[in-house]
Amino acid sequence: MRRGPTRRGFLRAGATTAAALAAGAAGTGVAAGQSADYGGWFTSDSKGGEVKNYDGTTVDKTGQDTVTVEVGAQGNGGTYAYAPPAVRVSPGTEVVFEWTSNTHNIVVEDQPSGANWEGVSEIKNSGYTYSYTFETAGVYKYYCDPHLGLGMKGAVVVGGGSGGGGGSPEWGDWFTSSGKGGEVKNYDGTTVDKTGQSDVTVEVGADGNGGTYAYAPPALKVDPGTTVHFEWTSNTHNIVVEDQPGGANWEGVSEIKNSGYTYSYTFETSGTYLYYCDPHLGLGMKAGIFVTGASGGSGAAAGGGGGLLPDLNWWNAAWIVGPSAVAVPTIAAYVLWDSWRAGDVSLDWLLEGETPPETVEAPQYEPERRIEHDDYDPWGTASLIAVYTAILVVAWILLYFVEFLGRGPHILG
Amino acid sequence: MAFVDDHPLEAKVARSSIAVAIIAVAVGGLLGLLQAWFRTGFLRPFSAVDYYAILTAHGVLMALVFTTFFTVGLFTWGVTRSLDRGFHDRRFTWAWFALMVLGTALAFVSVLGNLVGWIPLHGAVLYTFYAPLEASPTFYLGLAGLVVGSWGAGVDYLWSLYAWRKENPGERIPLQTFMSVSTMLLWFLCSAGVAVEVVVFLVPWSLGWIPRVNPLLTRTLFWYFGHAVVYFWLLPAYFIWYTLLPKFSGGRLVSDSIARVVFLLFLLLSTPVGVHHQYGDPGISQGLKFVQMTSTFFIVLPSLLTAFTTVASMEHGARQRGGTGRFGWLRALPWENPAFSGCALAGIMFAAAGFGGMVNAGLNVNAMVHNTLWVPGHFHLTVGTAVALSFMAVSYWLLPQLTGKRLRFRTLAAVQPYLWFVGMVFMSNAMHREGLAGVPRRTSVPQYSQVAFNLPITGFDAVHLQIVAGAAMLFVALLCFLVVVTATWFGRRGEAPLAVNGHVPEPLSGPDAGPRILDNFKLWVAVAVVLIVIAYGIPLASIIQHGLFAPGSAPLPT
Amino acid sequence: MDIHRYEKIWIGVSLVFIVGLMASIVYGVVAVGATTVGDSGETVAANDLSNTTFGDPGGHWASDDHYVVNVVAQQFQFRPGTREPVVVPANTTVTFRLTSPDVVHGFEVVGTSVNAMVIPGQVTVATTRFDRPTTYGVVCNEYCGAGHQNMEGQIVVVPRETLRNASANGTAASLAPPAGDAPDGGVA
Repeated sequence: MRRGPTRRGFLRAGATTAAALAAGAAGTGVAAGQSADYGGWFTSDSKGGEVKNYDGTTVDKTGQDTVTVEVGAQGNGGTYAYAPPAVRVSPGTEVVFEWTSNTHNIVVEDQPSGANWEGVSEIKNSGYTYSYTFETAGVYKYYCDPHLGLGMKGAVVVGGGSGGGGGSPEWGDWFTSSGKGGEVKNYDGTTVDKTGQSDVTVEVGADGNGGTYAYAPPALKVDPGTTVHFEWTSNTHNIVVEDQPGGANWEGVSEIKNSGYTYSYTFETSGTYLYYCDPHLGLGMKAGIFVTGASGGSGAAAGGGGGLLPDLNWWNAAWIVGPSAVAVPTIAAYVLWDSWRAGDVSLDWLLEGETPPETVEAPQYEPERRIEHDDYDPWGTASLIAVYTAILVVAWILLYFVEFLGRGPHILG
Repeated sequence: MAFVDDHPLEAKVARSSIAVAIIAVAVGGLLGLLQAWFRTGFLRPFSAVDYYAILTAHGVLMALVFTTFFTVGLFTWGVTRSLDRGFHDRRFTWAWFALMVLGTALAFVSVLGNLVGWIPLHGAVLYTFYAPLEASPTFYLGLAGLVVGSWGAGVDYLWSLYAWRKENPGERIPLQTFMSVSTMLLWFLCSAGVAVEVVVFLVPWSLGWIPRVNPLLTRTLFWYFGHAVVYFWLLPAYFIWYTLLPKFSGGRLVSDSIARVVFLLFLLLSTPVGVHHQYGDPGISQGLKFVQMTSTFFIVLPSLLTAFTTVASMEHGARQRGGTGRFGWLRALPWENPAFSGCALAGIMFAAAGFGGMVNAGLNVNAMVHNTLWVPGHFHLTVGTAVALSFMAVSYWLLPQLTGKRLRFRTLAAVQPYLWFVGMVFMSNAMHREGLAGVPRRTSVPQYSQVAFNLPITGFDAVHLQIVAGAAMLFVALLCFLVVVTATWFGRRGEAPLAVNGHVPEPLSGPDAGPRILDNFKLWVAVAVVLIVIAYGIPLASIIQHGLFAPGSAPLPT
Repeated sequence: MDIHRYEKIWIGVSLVFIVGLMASIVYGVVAVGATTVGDSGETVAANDLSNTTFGDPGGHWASDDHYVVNVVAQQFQFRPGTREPVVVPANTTVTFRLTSPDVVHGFEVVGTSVNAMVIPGQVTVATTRFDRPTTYGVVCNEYCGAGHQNMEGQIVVVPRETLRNASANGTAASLAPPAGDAPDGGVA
């Protein structure tokens, strides 16, 4: 996925001498109290101009697990607003962006260092929803590409204010169409909070995803030591663990089981557990369990956010570089050695000093008979060209007089 | 003694340029295949937004990098060989080559930044990079480096020509040098437009030094360059067809003078016709568009002359090989020789492409096809086949002489031009048909919810199949080409005699049959400049009447 | 110069052919009236269209036989055109006036030759005539950014009197229901 917006922000700040565009690149600190320092983001000092639907207050939604932001709400002379434009949330809050009108996106202008929110670069229409769980504290500024000039900008402030903690789940793209198996349609963006309970039930094979192909709830938050009871309510499902925190050793249920089967497991290790049903993976039968405690988000499913190439964090890089560094030279060396042995490869180009052997060319071509200038009449060519001209004329008549002049309204003089 | 023995430095320059061109066409070809899959909906392994970065890279690699590098490689060989003298200063030569390579790398990495998150650059602005869409300054600087570096090649050819003229007063300029120099003179004249666009407007604007540019002005400056550049691509192909194809056919060029006249006509007429790419633009009057239309139609003439002359030269070769009859001589041609067949098939395809060009040139009929898929259909026939296939064909003949190594996998080479030709017939034909139905070009997902397209005779499934199948054949043909040249390049020098001979026979009617004034480049450049001033003076004056930067637009990063 | 007789003939034929091509174009312009966009001479400030005729884009009757539609082409919609179709009368001279507040767009009425470029700062004026009531699709055919592939709209041609009456009653908006299904045809 393109990381362009954030990096562009930095590049522009660095490269622009006469800063005619974006101002507020700094100011990511979180101030105590209601308003954060947006560095002029909502005023006419920064790109896009004034955000008319920003009234100066930052809506305080700390302490809530999920917060909704409307995309394309009424404002700025049309449906060109984020509502609320400035909102404060606790770390670990999942912000659900709901499109209520057409042709908007979310381009991240600026975010705290260490955060890697990518926004939504593709233009989406009314009805689309997108969720992101904000972990890193600081100020995140974003805008809508097509409507930047109308002042469609927003900000999310993470941290400060009141509100609970306990860490929060980061599902990455597990529930989206970028995650393996595709979109989990029965995931509505909310994580069901069952902390404080020692026994929790998850239905396996509940209604959803076009049949009985869902875990319910798909996203669950529990405390360490909670026993989760998985109850099969339809046939042919299993539980395959995709990812779990380091140190955990949950094995899921690899055998296919049918309606009525139950299985329990007590989750101790904090972090994010991702699992899916093998036969119904392609239908989106996936789920996750987040166990609170320690630092949130064990990095599960953090890599590969769609797009052409994987995110290049150290882990991915090591997986690519390591084996490549061994395999590629080995294979290349073998092939070269084999070719050398066969006499197919020459390294003359390395031996600068030596005079290369003179190249022998094929003998000069002698034609069967020589036709001189005065003896030559290209009558075959004349015939071919005549045929070609005839084809051109016919084609032109058909395309210009019949197809073009005969069809449809034209631009009139 | 082959060329590589006679002129080792220039052989190295030539083959290095061609090597870069081959890498560009390899990467660009893969990207093209991905595009064909994406547009038709066959396979979409990336997002609709990523498509535009891929499209930009494909256009830049194929239409700017592959073409320019191959051309300077080909002309380096042609000038050195025909004058039988090397370049003036090897450091200058390698300097311009290095500038071209660095510029290319910089531009390519800028576009890659849209696909790879950790490159802080962006450049998904397509090969025409119209403002106010904005790329990182490195994109524009990279392309500028490529163009300015190639000017260095032109300087080298002129240097060699002047030195040769001093030593050979009164002699007619050898044809290959004449063609190379006239092409590079055309290049100097037309790239001035895009150089101004980039250096004066786009780079300062993308750096933030100036706040606004006039999109109509930058667009017009681009198309001042943009039409002439297609002749910068075409003339090297004509170079091959005039000077080498007769030899491949077993004969001789029928007239050296006609070839000179053709190249001079292109020098004069290529640039003053750019506005025909802007028939649909506001801000340029219909009268001015009509004037440039007439020049555009006249530029059909040198190509029609080329058709006759090159076919007549092929016929000469066929009859020398024993061919008889009105059309039977065609069978006597060496269709198993890929250097010949590639050029011949490229020429056939160009004859078809010319018709599409006539439609594009028509002031009113252009609106039927403007910015539809017809346009890529057209240029895949012209630059994509007439030029690219000729380049690949001549590589089979030229690379052995530049490297001293015999061509390998000759059977693959012999098959490759036919595979390319058939693949292109399918793909381009389908594109033309979709274009007539109004399907737009340059869009990643041409499947709309409010808009339907009416494709007569067959449905869209059929054309999609043709595009995917055609693209697959083209890609396989490209792989064949890559295997042949790579295997040849890694062969052992001096191991076996070459299968080719570098001798180029004299034309039937030599340069002395044509007037001396044809060789007077100063005169023709002056006439070309006058024609450009007449054609572009009024439109540009009209566009900048409100000022150089007004009405102006701020950049929109893409 | 030494030119073979056949080639001399060919030069003559070529010139006649080229002149013939140009004559076709002139015929098209003069007899059918088919031409292309010219220079309207108008410029606008792209970053603030609110005080121009594009501040409230849409159609209105300029005279008895002339209907003018102001259209703004922006990222990534036509206003009007995308959210609700452009409604124009049949058998009337219709003039589209187009501009853009952001980047270069294309305005292509699919299946016709009404095809023009929309450049920020400039006003494109394209006049045409629709013969019969029907619906046309409109696409943006010049790359304009990440959402270019979504930029589409419709033109609905209604009987002239229908629109005239609706304009008089102020009910013209009801003639253009929000984005309907694509007219019969294929998906490219």
